[in-house]
Amino acid sequence: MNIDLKITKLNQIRDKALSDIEKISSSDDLNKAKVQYLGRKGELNQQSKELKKLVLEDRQQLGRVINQVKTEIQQVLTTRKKELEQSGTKELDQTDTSLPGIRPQTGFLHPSTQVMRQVNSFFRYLGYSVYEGPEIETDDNNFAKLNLPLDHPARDLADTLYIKEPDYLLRTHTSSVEIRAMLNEKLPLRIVVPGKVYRNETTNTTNNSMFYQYEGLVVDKNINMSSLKGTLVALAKFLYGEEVKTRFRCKYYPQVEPGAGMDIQCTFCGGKGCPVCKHRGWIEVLGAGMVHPNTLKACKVDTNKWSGFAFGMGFDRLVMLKYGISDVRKLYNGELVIEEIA
Amino acid sequence: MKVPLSWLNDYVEVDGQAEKLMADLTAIGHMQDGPPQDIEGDLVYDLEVRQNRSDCLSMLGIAREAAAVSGRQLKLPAAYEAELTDKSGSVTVEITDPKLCFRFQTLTFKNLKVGPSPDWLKKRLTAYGIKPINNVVDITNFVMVESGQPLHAFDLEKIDGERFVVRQAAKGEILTVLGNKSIALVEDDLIIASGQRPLALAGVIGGEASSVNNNTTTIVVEAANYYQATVRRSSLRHNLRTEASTRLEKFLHPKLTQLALARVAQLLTELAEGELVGQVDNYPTVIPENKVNLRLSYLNQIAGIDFSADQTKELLAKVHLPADQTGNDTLTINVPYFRTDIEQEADLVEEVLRIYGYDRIPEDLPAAPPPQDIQSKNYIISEKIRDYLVGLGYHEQITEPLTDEQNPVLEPVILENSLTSEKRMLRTSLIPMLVRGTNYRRKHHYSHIKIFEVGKIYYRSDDQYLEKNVVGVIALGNDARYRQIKGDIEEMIIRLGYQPDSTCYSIEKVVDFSSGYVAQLDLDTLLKSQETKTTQVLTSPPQVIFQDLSLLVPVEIQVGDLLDTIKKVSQLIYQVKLGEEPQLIDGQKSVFIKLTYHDPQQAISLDTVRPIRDKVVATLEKQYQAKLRLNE
Repeated sequence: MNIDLKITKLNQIRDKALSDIEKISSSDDLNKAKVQYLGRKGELNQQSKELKKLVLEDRQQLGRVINQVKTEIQQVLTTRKKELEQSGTKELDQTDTSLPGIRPQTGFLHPSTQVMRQVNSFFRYLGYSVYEGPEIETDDNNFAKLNLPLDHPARDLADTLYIKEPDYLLRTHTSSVEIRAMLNEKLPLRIVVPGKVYRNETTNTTNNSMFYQYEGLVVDKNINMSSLKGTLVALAKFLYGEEVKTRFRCKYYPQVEPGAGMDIQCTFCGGKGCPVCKHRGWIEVLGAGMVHPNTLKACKVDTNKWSGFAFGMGFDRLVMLKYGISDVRKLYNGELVIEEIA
Repeated sequence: MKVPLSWLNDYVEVDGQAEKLMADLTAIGHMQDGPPQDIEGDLVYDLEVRQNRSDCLSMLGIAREAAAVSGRQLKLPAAYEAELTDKSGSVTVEITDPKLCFRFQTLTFKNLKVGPSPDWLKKRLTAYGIKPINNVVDITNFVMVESGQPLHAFDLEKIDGERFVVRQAAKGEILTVLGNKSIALVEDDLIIASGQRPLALAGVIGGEASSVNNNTTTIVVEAANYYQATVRRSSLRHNLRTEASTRLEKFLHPKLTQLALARVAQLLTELAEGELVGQVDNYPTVIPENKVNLRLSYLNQIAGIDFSADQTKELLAKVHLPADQTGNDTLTINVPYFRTDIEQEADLVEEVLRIYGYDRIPEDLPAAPPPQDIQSKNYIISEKIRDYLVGLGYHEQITEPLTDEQNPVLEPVILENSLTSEKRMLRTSLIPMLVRGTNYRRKHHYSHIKIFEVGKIYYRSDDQYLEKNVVGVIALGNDARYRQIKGDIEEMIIRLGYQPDSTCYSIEKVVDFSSGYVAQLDLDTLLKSQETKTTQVLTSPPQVIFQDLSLLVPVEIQVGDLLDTIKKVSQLIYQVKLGEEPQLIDGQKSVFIKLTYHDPQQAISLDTVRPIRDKVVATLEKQYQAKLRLNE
């Protein structure tokens, strides 16, 4: 066979390929063309198979031409592919603005952290510092210095988890941290103490052996029941809304004297009495009082110069109320999932 | 404290006023606990027990509070005031330790007719919640609830020698108490014994053997007062929380034994035809009624209200606390026997305020400027960490530290009295709960899971109980890579103002997951390290020269070492960063490094950079057998 004839044939293949590829408008067709011309059984490979029938000189010449044609076709394919891609994205960008935006994957704070931040910010505004302390405590800091000597009947109020009875225990309230603050910090003092506390209680939907407490302490000159009450009423309004009805009443806690409790009127029944408020019409939300002189003295605070108030509340109920969680155990067992609904 | 309305009405008129009265009692410190119950036509209210008010475990105590708050007349049964003339009789009482038993007083009755109580008495006890038994037992129970003084009746014929000894138990002694429960006494238990035989656990419960039954004709009724802690310990130790122990574990004034026995005498005479034949009173040290001073200045300082002396006296009188002005600023209050809770000035401030009305206390805020800022450093840092990790897509979890998962590295803190074995110790790592949280999400078909927790771990070391603040981070999914989680932590450390130091955190591959890593950072150790400047603010970016360095090194060479070494070659080397991921090429590791040079003193030139680069290449070749790749 004449080698010139073959070269003409190759040029025809190239011309046809180039004009075909120019007209192609989809990447699927582009792939088909690639197979048609450059594939293993493609037209150019068919030509290559006939090379071995030729003498060496012709073989070399024709081989070069085949490679040149291959390269040309390949280049055109690549160029066309890019063109197609570009025109495609251009059009997508311009025409469909309703495609969802690509959103970053962000996490969420635990609900308790979210509520904690709100309450902390309220107290921060009033000049309080968030103060922390250990959870493993001594009897002295958790009870004795809080005017709760060994064998005091009010110890019934807290079923204690002991590490080494009676010396080491898990704090049953964060009041122990207030003791540490009075012992270790300069006066005056204005702190809030949020944190984990522990009770040896049977776990159910409303009680867990670990829960969060939120306490506060102010030691200063001219601290009195009025400043306590004003603070608590402001807190109740912050937590439950300006319209909340509060009740400030006498209540016994060993570490304070006078002692006080604050209730809010039940929002479910408007005070008429219902299962939520255990038919009381009111829901206890806070315990408080003026720091007991015995406690101040135990912390080496000069009672002639200083007085103080303290308050404390269970924290988890606030979180559960806000997020509609009915089982306290779900808060802290690693099974809480937050999802966006937008 | 259960308060049957009809019973309370015996001492203070409450008819038609119950709801208001209960609300008022709540306001002054006796919270109504739930709605009233109807027990056989009697409305019974439940008031929360105040652990400091031993008197409010009695109808008379509640009646006094009710009278104070309603302004109504208080009517006390006259029998309480009756004299108990000493008729000695044949009974003897011995107190071995006056520090444990303050007073032990007995009355002896004979020719009793034991039988059912009259209906009014049965109804009273039933409403309160005590089952009627016979007139003798019922009368002691009635007077206990009325007065607050626990009492006990012994069948005298069942007691050897008519001799009572109040003593500590001997080890090994056994007492069969009412209800036929046998308890093994210990030395800390205080008992009432006759001869060698224990008769009762003092202040807690009587014994079966000396109990009164329908054949009894001669009894001894005892009213006593013990060291409260002993009573409390015995009742807790033997799990016998009785009406008597809940009263006697609080301080009742010993004067009350006399008053209560006088009332018992009246009722036994009237209702059981008893004949009082003997009275014994062993009262080693008479405890006087207390006097407490109240400074008006202190009252007003704590109250935030200006009370005058007269107003204060008037308010105190309402709660049965007579006060005399004994100084310009001082009132002296004669504390009646039933108010053992009033020990000091602050107690009186509460008395004044609660009867004045907590609702009338004005609302104010602390007036002083905010004091020193002592926000805990750990708290501040933890908050930054939370924001940082949430921004990176990690979800926060908070878990209960009580667990049963042990970590072989740290010795756990174990609880002595946990209720369940799953919560028998404190966690020594955050990782198990992070893995658990991840598994939970996987089960619910979440794919890219990233969680963190900021919290404490707890452990024992050298007999000390320690806690440490840590941060745990877990990432799971196809894009979870070792370098990714390491980078997240390093960047976090830099953001917090510290140099990343791999000794304060560890990263492990999560077992069971195809691709997942979990890390724990020791926050306490990090915070102890030197805080450094980790960012700079530039008004114009620095003039730098970029260079790439493509190397081949033996596979075992650590890239981190290479980078550290390069950094140390010259001060003009500004940044050293790893370019693309190292790859295996012809049995060697390819490392692509991006270098920048910068001279703070002057504009940097290629002529300056060239020798530095040569030195870098030479150093790496010498130390790590690194070779420049040929195609560069």
